Amino acid sequence: MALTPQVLRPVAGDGRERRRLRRRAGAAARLTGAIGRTSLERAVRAEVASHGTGAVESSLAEAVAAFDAMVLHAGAVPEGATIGAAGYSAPDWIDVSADDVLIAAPDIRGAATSEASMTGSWRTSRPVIEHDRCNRCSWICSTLCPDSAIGVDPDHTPRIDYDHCKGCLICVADCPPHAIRAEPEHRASAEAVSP
Amino acid sequence: MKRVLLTGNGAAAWAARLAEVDYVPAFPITPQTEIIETLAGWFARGEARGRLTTLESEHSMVTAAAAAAATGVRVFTATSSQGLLYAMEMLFAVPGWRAPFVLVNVSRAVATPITLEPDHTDILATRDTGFVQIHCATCQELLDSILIAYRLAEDKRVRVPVIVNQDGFYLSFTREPVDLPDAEAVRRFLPPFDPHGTEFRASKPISQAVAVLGGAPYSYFRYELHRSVMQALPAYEESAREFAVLFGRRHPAVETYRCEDAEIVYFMIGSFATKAKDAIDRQRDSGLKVGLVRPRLLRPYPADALRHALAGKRAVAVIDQKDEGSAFHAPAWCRHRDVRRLRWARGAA
Repeated sequence: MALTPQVLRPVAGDGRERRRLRRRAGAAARLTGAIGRTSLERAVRAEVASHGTGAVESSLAEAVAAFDAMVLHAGAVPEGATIGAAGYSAPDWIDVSADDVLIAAPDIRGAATSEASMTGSWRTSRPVIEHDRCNRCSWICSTLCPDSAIGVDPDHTPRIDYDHCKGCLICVADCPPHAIRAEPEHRASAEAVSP
Repeated sequence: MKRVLLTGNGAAAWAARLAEVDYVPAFPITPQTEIIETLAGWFARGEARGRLTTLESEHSMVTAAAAAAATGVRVFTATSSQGLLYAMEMLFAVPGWRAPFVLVNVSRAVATPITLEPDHTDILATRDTGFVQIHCATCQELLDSILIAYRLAEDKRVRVPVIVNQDGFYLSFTREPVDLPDAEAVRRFLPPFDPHGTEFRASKPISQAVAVLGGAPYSYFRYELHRSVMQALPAYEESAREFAVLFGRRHPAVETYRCEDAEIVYFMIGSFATKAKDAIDRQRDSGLKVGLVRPRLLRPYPADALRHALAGKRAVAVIDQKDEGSAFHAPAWCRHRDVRRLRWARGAA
């Protein structure tokens, strides 16, 4: 029986949800009785490795703690018998009404909703401003940013909104004094990963 | 009303003019180009009111058409062959926006080898995009179908874009007598587009066609799209009936010719089917009981009307103008997927 990989994969969301998922993965592994501690650890390492050693350590701790805590229930969920189509009855068909376009088109009718979507988690490279090299031109990086993720302080200092910067690095390419450098995201965010 | 000699391309341009379209995003491709040139000339000389923009590809052209339609204006565009295929990603995407417009495809075979001459490989590749699809056999039918297509696309129950197909060369460059309806009569049949408050306005921001995750929301939106396309069946019949009352020309979803007592029927679409009528007349003279079944509406599929037309026939000869590649050696009747589906559906019922 294979452990569903999605259970182990770090997901977008708050730290509490991520911790819950890691624990769920460890507990599920124990319940099957078919997955050993070493296999679990190897899988967690493989899934989380690209997020840095901090993420690996915290994920391992959560998953293994849950694995150990479930020792009394080891093998409680055994592999099921083969299921045949004989005796299967179709569920009642529930039809969906033909709704008005205002409902039936996948639109969000509201302003500035993209602010709530943390697209910064898509980033694989992170632009970092070296403020001592910045000319305080006040507009080039902030204007060219396709995600409006660079704001400028009243004293002309640019600030990157990492919750929404997708790491396209247009700012890195276009800054005249080369005051923005690119770093691999896993290195830049290693210390920022919440346990 | 006046009677003029028009090419298929001329008839398509006249239909757009009579529909008083607001916006025409365009990209040139043979044999569609004359439609766009004709409209561009009218707009430039002030003979028709509308704005034409040339885009850098058909992909952008279809995107621009749907985006403009989402603001509540009436949009027309046209393409052919490789152009239609280049727009393929957006052809699948925009029906779900529920922003109605009309696209005329001037059928032309696809590379390789490159040709300018027609078959239906381009248009039939877009059969399951979610567009309503109408196939025309004459220049008159093309003009009429575009007007009906706007009624259908903008119908509150339907609200999806429509492709109206004419065959390159056979219709696009051939002049036929065409009745041009009066602008006032067309306005009665086709009032201005009313988007019922769904239109985009800068003062009312919308994130259109957003991503959904988790399975069920995706299924819901796709199912709603399916339902809306299926609503085009009754909506088509209503529009075509009203069109017949106003203009005296009938365009049923399925045309039949000498079918009632026929033992064998040809199953064909587009201008090619007009050749079958001539062949049928001659074969009838030599004692063969043959007839023609021609779906004009191919999406949604008028299954009931087709079952009715094909009921009790000894044989159906499907003459297809689409190259089905690896299925080439299969017998013709089972190459045509839709007829095959019809047989299956009847067997299961």
